[in-house]
Amino acid sequence: MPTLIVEVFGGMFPYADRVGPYAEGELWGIFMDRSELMGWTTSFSNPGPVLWRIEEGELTFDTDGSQIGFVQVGLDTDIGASELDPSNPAHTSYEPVLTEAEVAELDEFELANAGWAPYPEPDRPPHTDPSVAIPPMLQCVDDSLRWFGEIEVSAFQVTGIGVSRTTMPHAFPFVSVPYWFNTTTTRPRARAQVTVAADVWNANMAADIAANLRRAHGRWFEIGPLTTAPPEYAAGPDMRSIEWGRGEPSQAIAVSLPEWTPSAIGWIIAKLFDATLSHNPDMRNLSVRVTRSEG
Amino acid sequence: MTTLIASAYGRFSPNANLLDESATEDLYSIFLARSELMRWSSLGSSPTPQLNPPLWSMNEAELTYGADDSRIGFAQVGLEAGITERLDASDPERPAQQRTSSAAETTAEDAAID
Repeated sequence: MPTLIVEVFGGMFPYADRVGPYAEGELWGIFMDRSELMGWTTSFSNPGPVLWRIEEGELTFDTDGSQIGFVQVGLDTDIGASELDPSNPAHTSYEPVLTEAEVAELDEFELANAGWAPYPEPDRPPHTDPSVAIPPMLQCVDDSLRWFGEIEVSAFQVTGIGVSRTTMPHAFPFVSVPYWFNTTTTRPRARAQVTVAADVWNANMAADIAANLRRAHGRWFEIGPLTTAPPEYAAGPDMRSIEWGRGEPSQAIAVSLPEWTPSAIGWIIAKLFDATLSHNPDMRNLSVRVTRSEG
Repeated sequence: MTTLIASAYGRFSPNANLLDESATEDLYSIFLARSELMRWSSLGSSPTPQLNPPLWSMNEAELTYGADDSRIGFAQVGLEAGITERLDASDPERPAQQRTSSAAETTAEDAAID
């Protein structure tokens, strides 16, 4: 099933009365509540038109590293569940990341650090287009984290596993959305570096992506030039089943955003997913990280 | 067609550069942009409306903060997109109308404040 993972990095100052001793699992519930209130998902068991199904969500601000928290959702809307074809293996089965024999050979440390994996559900097309789900998902993650405390976000990373651009023409362009960012006369702009990792990679990909974004964004988003990012800015979380291609060395795209908000960051990541998946039909795994530049 | 009108009341301090004579945006365009970005509405048509259908279509929106009363602005949407009727038919306990109302109120507030 297509899966999206949103990771948020930066600093968090939790509200004492909202973060309990077992806080790590609490983000799931708040993200679920927020998603349902805003119409992005439903807790009802009946199939319904939603953007995503929630799989995981954890606060991680109190662990090592700069990650504040993460949320993982499935883009299977269940709309196609009644149309499953039992004779089609893609509709009724899935391939586990590891075989049972491989799992049996893992030691305790490996089991505790096995890394990300898509939720084991049979594939039920049609799926929500990742570029449609990304802006509201970043907004929902940001809203949910701010329920627990004050946060200062330094980076968002969105990773799609098993994704593909749908053939739905409703995904892009969103004709009216750029008007939201017509605020450059009143708000300070934000500089950032965009890094990309994918399971299909070639030497020209970063330049192609930058060119596509530049054509699509017009005056409110400034795209380019290509630059080199610190190693810690690299996109693509460690996953046993995916070998990420990232370009050499730590290739990044310098961007200037009209504002440092989940909306602007989500918009540019969504556009990048749309452009990249459209130009690389064989690509199934894609990770994009937007890290704010200092100064 | 079912119609929802959300009005916001209180005080309003406009961003001067966004609401002077050269301003190109108004509450209608900003409300629509926010609705599309958050996937509550869409200008595009879909051949598969059962997948992520929009919650509403735009009717009107206007800033009214200079008028006599305390109303800052309002937005009016139509709920003919289809989700309400279909969800109500499939599950009488599903609060579809409430779902639509909550998102519409949030969008009006975002557009007026930001």
